[in-house]
Amino acid sequence: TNWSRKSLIRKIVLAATYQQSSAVRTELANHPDGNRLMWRQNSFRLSAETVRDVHLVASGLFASKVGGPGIHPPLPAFVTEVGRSVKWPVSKGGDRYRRGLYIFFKRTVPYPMLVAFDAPDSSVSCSRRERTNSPSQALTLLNDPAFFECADALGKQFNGKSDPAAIRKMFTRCLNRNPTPAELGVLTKVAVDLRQLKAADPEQIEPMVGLARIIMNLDEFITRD
Amino acid sequence: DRTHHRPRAKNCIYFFMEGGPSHMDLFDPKPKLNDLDGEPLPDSLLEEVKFAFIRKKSARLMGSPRTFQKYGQCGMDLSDLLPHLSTCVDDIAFVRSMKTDQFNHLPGQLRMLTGSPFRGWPTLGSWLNYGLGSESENLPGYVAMVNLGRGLPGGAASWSSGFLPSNYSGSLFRNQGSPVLNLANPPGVSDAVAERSLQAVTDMNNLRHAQQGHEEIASRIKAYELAYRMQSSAPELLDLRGESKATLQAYGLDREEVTSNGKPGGPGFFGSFARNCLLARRMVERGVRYVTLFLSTWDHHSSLNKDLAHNCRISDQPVAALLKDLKARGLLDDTVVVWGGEFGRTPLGENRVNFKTITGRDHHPYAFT
Repeated sequence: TNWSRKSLIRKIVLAATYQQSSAVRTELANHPDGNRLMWRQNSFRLSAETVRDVHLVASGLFASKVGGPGIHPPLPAFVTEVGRSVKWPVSKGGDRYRRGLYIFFKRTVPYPMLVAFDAPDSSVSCSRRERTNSPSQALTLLNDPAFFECADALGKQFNGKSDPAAIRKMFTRCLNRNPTPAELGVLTKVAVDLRQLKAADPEQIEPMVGLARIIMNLDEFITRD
Repeated sequence: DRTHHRPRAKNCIYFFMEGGPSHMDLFDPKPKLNDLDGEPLPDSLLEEVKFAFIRKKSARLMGSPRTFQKYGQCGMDLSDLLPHLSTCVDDIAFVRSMKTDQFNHLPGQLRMLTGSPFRGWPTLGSWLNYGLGSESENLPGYVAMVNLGRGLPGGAASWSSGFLPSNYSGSLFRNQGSPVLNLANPPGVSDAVAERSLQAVTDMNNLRHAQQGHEEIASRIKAYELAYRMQSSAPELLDLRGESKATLQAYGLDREEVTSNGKPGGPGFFGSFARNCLLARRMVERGVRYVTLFLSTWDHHSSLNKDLAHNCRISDQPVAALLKDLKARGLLDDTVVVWGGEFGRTPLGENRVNFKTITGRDHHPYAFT
């Protein structure tokens, strides 16, 4: 590769080994060496910043501006108040939808979602991030206003259409594959149930917003398979 | 068994009194200090010493107006500022030999909470949860509550997991409304919608798990189930209707507030701190391994007499009530309750450059209680 990092990366990602599925093969599942010899691709959760990014891109809210000062997405007062003399000037306009890498890292009030998804605390260099699995991650993806905003934006693009074709389209947009019949069945059923709940209580969210929220909370959405 | 005694403690409640409480006005009677009020300290003592703000040459010793008495069967000394705690002294071990090597707040606080004056190390609650796990099914194992007159110098680093995995960091709890960040459903998502949606997420994850076989999917399903349980257990934790009137009165939830130029906090501050003390007991009952309460600030560079008395009016009654409540419920036997800050305060009055009068004390790491 003549010491070119680009050619090295190219060689790796085009190799058959790299392009294997990460699905576990039952006959090799208990191999004593684990996956050291790469009989499948490894599957792992995305890093904190990327978890935010995939939501923004799938929803269409993503702001692709490169460079410039870091951003301050909105945070509730009780979070920012714990730090002495902390100022958190919320970014205006499209800036709040820029990628996670640009989030201003305030060490006394680190952006909660980054901490929840194992971003390092920046006081020492980090050679390898953890990949934890915690209820606060679940709560973030389900209820954090920034993530709900993405589900809302994605759901509203379907103009109330919640037929199987629309559902398949949303699924594919998020997960880059078609749903299996079983998966489509589950999602179609929940769309019906959500429509019924909304009919009983108009204050509820649109079924397709609910569906977007569900799909964006699947393990697969934040996993690199 | 490798310990020299059988380990007994299962939980810890840590009252972190941010800013450096003045030990000679609270815990340590110093008759000689009062005798020498207004005198300078000899050069030999001061030569090597660095103070945060005091100007050495013109500094003078400042006596304390507090009156001390001996309390309890053990005859413990306490000042008149802590009448409620004075009834608990037989259950308290006063560590009078404290010293630290940090005279500024953030490194001092980190030293106390993590063992290192530098950021990046896990706090005590993280270690306890890492080593012992959590007994609570539905609540975090490490909870932090704050009553802030002013923000903490370390901010969220005060309950950080440092280099341990982030699921060992403290969860910031508020004592009303939605207690934990993102616990409440978004607007337009009713409980029914939330439950139905969670069911769908679980069903889909299970299908994927059957296809792919990754254990991480199973962990994620569990994490979502725990999040769901937290959503219902947190309101139960905050609901004080089951507590007796006597309990609520003992903690002083509704006692009359005394403002002191609003320092610290505004209306409701007294009640909020009392509420957090009661919640600490409820959390320990429900298996939360480590609860920490931050009360700021005790950093009395000026207005020491007035502001220290104010802090004690806020905290003395609820802290004592908590000790007695834990004891009555048999929880004190295996709960360690810690009260302290990052350093003490100087016997010299603080005469920093822009102070017209001397009404407080500077930071004192060399010896405190």
